[in-house]
Amino acid sequence: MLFFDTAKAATTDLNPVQQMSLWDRIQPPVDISANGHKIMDLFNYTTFMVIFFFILVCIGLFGFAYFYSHKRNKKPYYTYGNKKSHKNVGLAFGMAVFILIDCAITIQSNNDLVNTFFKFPKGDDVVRVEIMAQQWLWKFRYPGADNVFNTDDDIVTINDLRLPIDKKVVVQMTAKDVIHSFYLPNVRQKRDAMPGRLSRMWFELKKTGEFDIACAEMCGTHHYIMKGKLTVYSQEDYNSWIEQANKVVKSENDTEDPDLYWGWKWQE
Amino acid sequence: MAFYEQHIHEAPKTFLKKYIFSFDHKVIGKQFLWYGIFFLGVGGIMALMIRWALAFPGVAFPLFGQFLFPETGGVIPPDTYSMLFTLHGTIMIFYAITPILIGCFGNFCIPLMIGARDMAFPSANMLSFWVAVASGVVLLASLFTPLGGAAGGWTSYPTLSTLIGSPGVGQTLWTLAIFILGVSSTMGAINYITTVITLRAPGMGYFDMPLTVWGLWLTAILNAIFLPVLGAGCLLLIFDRVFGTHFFLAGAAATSGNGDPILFQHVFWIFGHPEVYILILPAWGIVSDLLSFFSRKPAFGAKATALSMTSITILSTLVYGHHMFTTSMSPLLTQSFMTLTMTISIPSTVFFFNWLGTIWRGSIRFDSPMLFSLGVLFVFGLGGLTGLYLGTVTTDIYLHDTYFVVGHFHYTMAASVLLGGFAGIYFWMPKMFGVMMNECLAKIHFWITMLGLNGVFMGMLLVGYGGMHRRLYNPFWYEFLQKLIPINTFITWSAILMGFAQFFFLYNFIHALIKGKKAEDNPWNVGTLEWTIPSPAPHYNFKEIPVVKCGPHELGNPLLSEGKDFQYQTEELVKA
Amino acid sequence: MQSNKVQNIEKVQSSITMIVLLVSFSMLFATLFLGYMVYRVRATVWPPMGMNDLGLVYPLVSTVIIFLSSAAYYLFENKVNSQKINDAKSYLFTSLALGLGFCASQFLVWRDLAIRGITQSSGVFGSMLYGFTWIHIAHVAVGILLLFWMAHKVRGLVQVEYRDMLRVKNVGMFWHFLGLVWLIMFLGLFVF
Repeated sequence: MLFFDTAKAATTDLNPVQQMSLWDRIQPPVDISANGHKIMDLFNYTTFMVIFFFILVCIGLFGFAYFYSHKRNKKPYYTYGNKKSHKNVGLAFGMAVFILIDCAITIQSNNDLVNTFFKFPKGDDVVRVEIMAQQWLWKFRYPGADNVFNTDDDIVTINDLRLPIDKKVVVQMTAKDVIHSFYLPNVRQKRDAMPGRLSRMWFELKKTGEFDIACAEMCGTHHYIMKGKLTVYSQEDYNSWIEQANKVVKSENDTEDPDLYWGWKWQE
Repeated sequence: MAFYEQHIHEAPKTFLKKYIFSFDHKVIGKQFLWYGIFFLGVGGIMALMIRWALAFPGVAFPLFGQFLFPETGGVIPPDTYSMLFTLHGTIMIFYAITPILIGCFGNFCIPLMIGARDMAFPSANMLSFWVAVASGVVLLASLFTPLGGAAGGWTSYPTLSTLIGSPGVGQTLWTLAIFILGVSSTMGAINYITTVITLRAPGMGYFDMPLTVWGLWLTAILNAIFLPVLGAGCLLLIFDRVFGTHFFLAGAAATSGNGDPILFQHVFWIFGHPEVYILILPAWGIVSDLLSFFSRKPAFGAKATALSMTSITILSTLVYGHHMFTTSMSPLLTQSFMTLTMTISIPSTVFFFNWLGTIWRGSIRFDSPMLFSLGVLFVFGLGGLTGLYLGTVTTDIYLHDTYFVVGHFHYTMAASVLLGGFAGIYFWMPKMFGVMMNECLAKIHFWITMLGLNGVFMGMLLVGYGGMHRRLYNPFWYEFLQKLIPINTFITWSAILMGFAQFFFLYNFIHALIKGKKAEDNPWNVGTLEWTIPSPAPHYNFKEIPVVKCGPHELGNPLLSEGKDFQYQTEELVKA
Repeated sequence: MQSNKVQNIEKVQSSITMIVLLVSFSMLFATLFLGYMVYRVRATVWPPMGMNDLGLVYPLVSTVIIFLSSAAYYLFENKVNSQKINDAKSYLFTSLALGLGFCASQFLVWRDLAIRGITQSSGVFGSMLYGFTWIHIAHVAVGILLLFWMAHKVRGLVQVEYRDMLRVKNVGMFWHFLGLVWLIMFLGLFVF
């Protein structure tokens, strides 16, 4: 009955949230990333355009329904809609939608992909983490002091991802059993973790705090509780955490256990 | 095309031949209607159960919760929840929309509207219905297996849908049921395509066909081409589950072999994207015609609308990758799919604009079929525009697998098709059953459905924007979703309202069938061929095959004589 | 006797139906080939380990048998169109017997593969070898049922009607189509 009790607890613990206005409620989670705003800016531009054109549609729909109802307009205008003027208006409308929305957002999105989201950072200053998604938890692996993955000194955590701000982070992931999806709502990104494949994602964090990690691909009965915790530290706090973790890694890691070595050689 | 007249067969005499094993396309159409309405009800109740679990976690489901889930005291358990959303999607798409829009309206309307006495292959037609029934039986049977029904989502991605994620026989039966239904629909598709090409009445060129027939014909073409792709995927999945093949098995949990789960996604969406157009094309066609009929003027740019629907049909085959933007496809592939997806906007805008052009300067009557058609204009306009966010890769990276997607496809697929389907039922009721539905109840049905529908799906767009991801048994597990609880509750109440509204339809429908007002031959005063024969249509349809002399939307011609504002397609076009 | 006009329509209707039907079946097999091509293009090692020698004898025998079956059917169709019913019957029975022979040779192919240690669980390629040929033989089984039906119709035939000729042609198209699919499988999976 665990899930029922927790559900009840969650719903009664509403006090700070209870005061929120509708507008606040529908806002996406706080953006803690360096590049998430690019996604939201594009979303907002699209929304302005969509609202503009939908208002035009509604003016047409409700306006025509009112002014051209049978009561008000006894004689309909007999046309096939194939006059030159009709075609021109249609064409103009279509081109307006296509250029103002479709072309604009495709070009912008493409730029963002090529220049940002698909442009993976390289070099030594990048934080690398490997992720193993499985039913129903997240396993994270840091390379440890030797900076090589899948060795004795790797820092391995369950459902516990800790990262510094102002550093580029690349995560590489796969899944053990079924397809999962590594979803960071506060970073505005998700990527599928698939068995038999490596996928990757990169981001840079700007705010400290504790945030949710969720699974965004149906992965079985307990897909809904595949929750992880992302802890974002300042660079100093992160370094001390890593230092601390490196110290205890020898005693934490059971090097006899083959399950410890779920990692892989990092693919650059 | 030379014209071919089908013989008038003797009317069937026995109960079995008249109502059960009938070759008559009209009877088969009605059989699909009962079948579809039954499953629409089942799928709808499943939806309400899903919404109940989302709004009131831990609370027993009312009425039959205690009976269904005695161990949990009537509360829906998590594994059942997974089965519910899986089957809700499957049933609504394959067992409700497909039978009602394609099976019922396709079968009933195509021969009548093109002036034929029946489909090209009546026996294949009957077979396609009974194969669909077999499929339904297999699907329902899957619910009673020890480990329960399929629970991997209607998209059934491996490896969740292989033995790794779904060990029970329920998933195998689900896959088999889909395959069998595919066979039924493919048979139907071949029938519709051949019928439209070869059995049009003399004088009916392609652009003299009502747009309803265009929609149904294009749907059939897509069905014939792409259902076998799904069939292949289903067969390979069944082989993986039953015969130990390794098409889709990968990862540490697979004992050997290096199959690729993503291959299934490609195969599935090569079918899946045309499928969503398959589901909407009949509704587009119906609405295009009805807007003209009730504005009392020709369909604006009818030829352009037909050609737009055709180009969307063709383009839909090229865009499937936009369902897979988060699977780390190559950047080139990702960008290509985004660009191709955007091109579908162009023909969509053209025919949408034509819809507005049809009601512009019309003389609009607000009978229930028109109200529902205007409703489609609204919901499809909104839903279609929300597709833009999802076709764009960067916004999709945030919105993929959130309720934004759910809101989008319900607006475009569920809302538009449902409203279009109701428009069709209210419109063709006189021709199908010889009775009229009650207009007052129909209008109440419309307004309450619209209210509920917009509450549900606009709410979903909002919570999706807020980041709520899909297929969650209990979203309140997450901190970032806490503030969305009241909106989720609002969605559930809207869904309950929407469900409640359907009782107005059911009562109206059943009452009309039993004691409805007898219908005239042409109660709507429109000129397409089905309205030239008595209501309900006699078993042979046309005593004499009509000769078509003008288009299907000849309304409001100022040269027509006093008192008449339309002409039948069999009349010579009145020109100056 | 039907008029020319009606015959024409039946011919057109028949052709359109067969085209759509064959497009549908082609899409099924095309999907399988698409999967195969993607897999093959992306494989780092070809052929996969332990699958260098698939044994070409039995697949080749299958190919020859199904080719002969199509040839026999072609001759059957010719005889039907020229009203030579008795000759037609023998060609049809030959085609049918060869069709059954094809099914037998497929079992030999599978047995031979199994002896070489290749089963449907031998990775993706093994899955494809078996899975694709299973799907093919399922369609061949339907084709054989059609040939039996045709044999039954031909048994008491005195005069060949136009409709009969159409039926023969259509079943033939399906049968030759299946032969073509096998040829592509043979070349794609076994030879190259």
